[in-house]
Amino acid sequence: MNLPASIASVVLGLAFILPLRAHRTSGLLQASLVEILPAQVGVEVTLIPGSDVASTMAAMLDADGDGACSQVEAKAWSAQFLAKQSVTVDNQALPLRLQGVHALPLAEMTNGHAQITVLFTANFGELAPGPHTFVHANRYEPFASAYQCNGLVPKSPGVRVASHRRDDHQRELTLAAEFTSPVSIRTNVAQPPVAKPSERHLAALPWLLGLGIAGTLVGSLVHARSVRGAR
Amino acid sequence: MRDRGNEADLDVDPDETWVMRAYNDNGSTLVAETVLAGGSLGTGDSTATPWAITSPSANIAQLRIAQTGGNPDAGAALDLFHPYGTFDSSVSDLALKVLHGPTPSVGVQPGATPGHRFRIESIDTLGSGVWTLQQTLTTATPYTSLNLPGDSVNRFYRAFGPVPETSRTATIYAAVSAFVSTLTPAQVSSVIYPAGNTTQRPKWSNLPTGIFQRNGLKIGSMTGDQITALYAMLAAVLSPEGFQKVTRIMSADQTMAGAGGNLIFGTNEYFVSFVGTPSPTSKYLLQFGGHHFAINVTIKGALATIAPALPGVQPASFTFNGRNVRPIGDEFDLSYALLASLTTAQRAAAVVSTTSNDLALGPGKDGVMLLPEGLKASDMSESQRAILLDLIGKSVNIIHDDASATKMASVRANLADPTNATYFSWHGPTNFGGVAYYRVQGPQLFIEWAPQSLGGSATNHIHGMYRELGNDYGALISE
Repeated sequence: MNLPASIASVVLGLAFILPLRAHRTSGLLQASLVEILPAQVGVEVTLIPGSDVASTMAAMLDADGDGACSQVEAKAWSAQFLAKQSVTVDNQALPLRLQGVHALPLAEMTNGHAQITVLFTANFGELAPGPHTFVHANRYEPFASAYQCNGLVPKSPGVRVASHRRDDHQRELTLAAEFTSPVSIRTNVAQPPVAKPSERHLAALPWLLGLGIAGTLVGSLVHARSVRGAR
Repeated sequence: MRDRGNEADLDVDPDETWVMRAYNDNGSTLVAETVLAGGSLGTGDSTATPWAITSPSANIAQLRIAQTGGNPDAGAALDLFHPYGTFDSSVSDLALKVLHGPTPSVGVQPGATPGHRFRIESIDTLGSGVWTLQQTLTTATPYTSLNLPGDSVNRFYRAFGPVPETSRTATIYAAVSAFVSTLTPAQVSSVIYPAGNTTQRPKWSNLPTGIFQRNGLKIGSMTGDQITALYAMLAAVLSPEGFQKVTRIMSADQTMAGAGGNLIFGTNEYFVSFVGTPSPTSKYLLQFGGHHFAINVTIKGALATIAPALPGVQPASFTFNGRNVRPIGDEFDLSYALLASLTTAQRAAAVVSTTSNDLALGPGKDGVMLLPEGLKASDMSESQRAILLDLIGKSVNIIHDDASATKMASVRANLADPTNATYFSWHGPTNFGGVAYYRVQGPQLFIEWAPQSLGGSATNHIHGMYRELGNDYGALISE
């Protein structure tokens, strides 16, 4: 079959450009960082959708298809995501609590270089001094996914991780911890960068869901609409 | 070799063959050739072998001396030979002998009057580019053997001196001041952020312009003088090896300039900024980076750290002036050399996953540290630890020699310690050249190597990280 010259030139162009891509091209990368604190487990999951699934991922965050992710839509997606997460301590499942979600604008997500960061905690109260086993499992798989999981060195002197292991697919991380005396709670999980309103053209923040950040959320939604209106 | 116009002397031993080739002004056309083989007149007598090379026209601009046979440990000693610049003829014994060094290094044996300080420089292609400082040293003995960083690139070396002693602090501050002095007031205000500005500090990335917007001043908006001063500043702050790595990573990115659609590649898209006003005594941060490269150099006098740093590259291998260049190829080679050296039991400890990873502590992941895993260096043999030390050095030695020497001494002291252990871990296939991630983590440092599956060959697109535990952005350096 002979391709028209114009199409052939496009194909050749793509063949040259493809190796230069700076963004993920296939599947969904889900990278977890897990830290044990004296009274809770902190988990940060970074999701990077490849360009082949980015538009689908964006659609999942924009259920009504209006081009923006509302607070309701963000909560709905987060609930689906958290439903596929589990944290146990000594084989007892812990309740999970969403702490925050951060992502690029939906329009940028379709370009294949988006990054969605979800922060949540699992509270276990006070544990007796001695050894305890924690397991975080990520079963979120809306489409083909690659996983990686790592444990963080606890900053609290009252907690020490003696050993850790992963399953073959890095969907599950098991931490064998040793508790001494209870100490104050201080998170070690990396916080996503929060842009000031004047910096949104540099590090866009179209939607952000979390405790005590409603003002930022409103500003972000306004920004998302202005982007949409500028198209 | 003694330069006497068109004549030079070379001592040729009986088991050696040397070829001298003269080229024209663009270095591409051979205009004359002389072969000195052992057994020829004047060879094997431990004295200089007279030879000459002539051309009918005055068109010899480049002379190449190559050993083509015989003793593999032979070297070329260049006495009183200096292609340009000021040369102090009172240093009558200045010499440079290039030897076969242990791979991947190059053996160099400079000779000079003890106590004289001089510079050894290198360049990949004669007639173009800038000579790169390899080392400045003061000899204690007439001849000093050195191992310089090497790779698959053939290059030229020169030694000259004496050069004056200057303090590292003065050298760095002079270079930084010289760069800032070239800037307009508007540029200064855009390139220097107030001390303590925590918004600018983490604003670095592996991503190109088009996805990630850096702050500061980019090379593409600088004048020629400003660019020259910028490179001089980087050369003062970094080691010769580090400076070469930076320029090669940028050269790799330049090969993609104009071919990325909405992504903007190339050397013009590398940015410089400061957090804190440069000072000879106060602490400040110098940031430089672009696609696949970022350094955060905290400077206070002669003290300096480079973490967090992101040395990546795409393409990982490219051709420049007919030569293969691998900006971070040594890291690749050393990691596989270390893996290959492991016993079955050691390998079982080191290989923690069969699939490759992305960076775990890349941009935006400041202030945290992963649980260590893999094989402890204390469970390695001395020769394995030597490879690991070389691998670590490829990251640590980006910063200038004084700072890296202190850091490497501390790293070296910890390697055999099973309590404050240094770990080497491997994620992915173990066949040579496979798509595999590795990590080195010790009590003071964290190094990652992550091939990127982004549409092309993952082994041709690498992201790396270098962090210092508790000392990113120079946290341990007092204000």
